[in-house]
Amino acid sequence: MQKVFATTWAWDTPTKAETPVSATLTFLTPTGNTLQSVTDVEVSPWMPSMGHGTYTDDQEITPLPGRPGAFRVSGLYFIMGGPWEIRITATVNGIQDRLAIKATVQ
Amino acid sequence: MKLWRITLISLASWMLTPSPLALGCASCGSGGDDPMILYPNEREKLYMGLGSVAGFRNIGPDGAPSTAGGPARKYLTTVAYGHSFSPRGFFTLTVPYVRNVRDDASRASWGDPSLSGRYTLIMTSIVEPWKPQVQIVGGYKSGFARSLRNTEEPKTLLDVFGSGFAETRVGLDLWYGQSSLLMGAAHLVSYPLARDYDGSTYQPGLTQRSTVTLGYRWAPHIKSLIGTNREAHAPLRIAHDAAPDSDQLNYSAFVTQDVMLDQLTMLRLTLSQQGAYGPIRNAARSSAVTAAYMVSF
Repeated sequence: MQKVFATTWAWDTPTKAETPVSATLTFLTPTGNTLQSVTDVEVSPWMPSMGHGTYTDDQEITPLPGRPGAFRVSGLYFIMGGPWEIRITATVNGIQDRLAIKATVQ
Repeated sequence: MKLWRITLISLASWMLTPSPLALGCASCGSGGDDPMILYPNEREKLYMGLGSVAGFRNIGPDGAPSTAGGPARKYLTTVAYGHSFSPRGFFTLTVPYVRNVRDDASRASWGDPSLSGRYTLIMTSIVEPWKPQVQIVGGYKSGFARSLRNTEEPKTLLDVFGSGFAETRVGLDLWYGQSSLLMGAAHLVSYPLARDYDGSTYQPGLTQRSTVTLGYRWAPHIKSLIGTNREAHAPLRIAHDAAPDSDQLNYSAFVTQDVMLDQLTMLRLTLSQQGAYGPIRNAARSSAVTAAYMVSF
């Protein structure tokens, strides 16, 4: 399956369990160019070694003004420390795709 | 003359009947399985334990510690009832009640009840002190208590009272209890039953638990035990696929002090430490203290 996007992910604060944290998520083409139209963005933290997710009620995904393809993800809340995955789903040009990035939470 | 005969027969019977404290078991008092055993002369027994667990830390797949999350302390009230069906075997029904505490909030509910049985394949004997007591152990633990996978308080996990999975277990328990120096070993295999959560089938891995116990009987009614458990879990499977880095390994240590108040009642104090030493992986570290009262009738 052809990948329709890549991402960069930058934490605003250190990732600490039981503390709301935020990050900047930027979508790019697979070759690293800016993506103009990204919709249906979803972010789901998942702990693969334990097989569970986390509390997401306070999570918000907001487009960053003047920065195409960039979003601020706030209210991320990890219920425990350890190795997590940030599972990202989005639609680009009508095609839905997903990827996961790794995160270590203290 | 008749009185002498009766006295001698009584004395011989008493000497050849092992002390209840000799008839222990390696996995009893280890903080994991059956909280009590019934001795051959006991028909029924009640157990009430009060415990506190705190100091939770997560240990990741690389052995690094991190925040455990959830309750800061758990208070456990455990009630167990044992009934013998022969001098060699008995069943025990164990029901825990758990109170989770975090900051100023707390929630309480029943934990997962369990039903277990023990059958003595080889009885210990004072005339053959080198022969260990050998028991076969089996049991079933229900998984109805709310767990991490169906919590209604996903931020605080205060309503998590169980593992979320029923399991069956079987094992062997060897125990040398005829001298002042006591020792034993046990090995139990637990098979958790698969269960669906959010449309996916979760199958926790097979668990192997080994226990080694050493002890000393200071007096006919007082004994001390120290021991260790090694618990290894095979990887979790979600929708038939093994979750990466999900196998678990934990080493715990425990100290138990038993005092028989009389022939029917016993007090037990147990201190245990999960994640005590060794190459721990994907497991939890915590400290527990449990005081228990047992009475047979």
